[in-house]
Amino acid sequence: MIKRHPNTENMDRSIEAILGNLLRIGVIIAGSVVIIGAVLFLVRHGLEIPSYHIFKPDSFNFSDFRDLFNGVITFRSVSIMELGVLLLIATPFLRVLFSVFAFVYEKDYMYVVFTVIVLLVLIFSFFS
Amino acid sequence: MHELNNFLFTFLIYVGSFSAGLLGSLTGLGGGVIVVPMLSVLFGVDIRFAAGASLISVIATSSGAASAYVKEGFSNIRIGMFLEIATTIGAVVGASIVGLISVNVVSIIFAVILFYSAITTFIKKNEQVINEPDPIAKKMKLNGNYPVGDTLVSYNVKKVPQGFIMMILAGVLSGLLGIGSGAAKVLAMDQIMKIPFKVSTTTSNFMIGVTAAASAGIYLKNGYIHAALVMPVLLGVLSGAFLGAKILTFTSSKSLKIIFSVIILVMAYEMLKMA
Repeated sequence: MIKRHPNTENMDRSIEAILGNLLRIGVIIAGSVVIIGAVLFLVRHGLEIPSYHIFKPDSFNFSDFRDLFNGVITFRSVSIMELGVLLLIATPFLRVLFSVFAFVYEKDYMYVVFTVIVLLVLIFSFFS
Repeated sequence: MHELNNFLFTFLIYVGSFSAGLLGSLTGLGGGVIVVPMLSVLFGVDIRFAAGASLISVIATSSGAASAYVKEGFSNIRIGMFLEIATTIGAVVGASIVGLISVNVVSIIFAVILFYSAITTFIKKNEQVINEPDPIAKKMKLNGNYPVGDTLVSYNVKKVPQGFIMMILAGVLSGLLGIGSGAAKVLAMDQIMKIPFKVSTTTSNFMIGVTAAASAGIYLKNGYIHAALVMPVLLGVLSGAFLGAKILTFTSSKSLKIIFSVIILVMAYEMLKMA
């Protein structure tokens, strides 16, 4: 039951290590974007009174990308924070996408199928 | 609470989320389970916005911690990937029904989960290693090994279908409540599938981000993600969790768990009262 050298799963581990670093960089970038948006937001709207106890849906569709883009280039604080949030949501997507390629590389087709199913569920959630 | 301006509101929520992230990372249960009741009970935020903000912070801590967990060599990518089929499908279902059931019902379910989380903090961890391999687990290459000191200890995974079903439920709860539902994931892996505790918790962390992302698409569409509210929660939980990871790894003290459980029980009681 006990092995001396960590020979098995080396491939998995190195793939995970690269991925782990990519994800951390993704979180740092997304977090920085949110911080920039936050500073602008507090400078401009710091003294206004929020009302989160009332539910006003703040709906985002992917057709709104043009609005988001326009908001970001005109330094609209909320748009910048939204961009950071979207970048953050993209990190697990990247993890799954990267894993698909990793399993293809390892020729582990059962896991290619599993990972593609997960990817399809994620895509369904965003684009249904 | 109605007089708070954005500046004070953001600051207080940042401080609260920082504490939740710190405590969540020290106890290994994650911050989401504290953030949602904190926002709804203390700040009067609608539970759907609270769930949206928590969900985003859950993604951040899961992705941010990934590299640290990999280095330690505990997580099992195959178990994670396979079970993510269950958690993501569950999450889509859970996120879709948030709008269909009443806020009170959501609060009651949350309170039950809080009580349960408080109890699991003290459940006996699975450290035993099962010797006879399970045919399904073997076929799916789920069995693995993990480091104990200088050696690698192999483990065999049991009851794959039962664990898979439990994971669907964990996904539904994650989508419904905006939490990582790490406790339910660990229950499925550690208690049902007999995966060693450290492998279960690290693999759970790995899965939490992908599970939450599956809910996030639906949350965005339904308007539960409010950027100005997400901002302090996200930054607070992330910095709290980062500090937690710096000052302590895994082996958390008994007293910390007791503090965490007491907070959770108080939150659960308040959520019930609110409902």
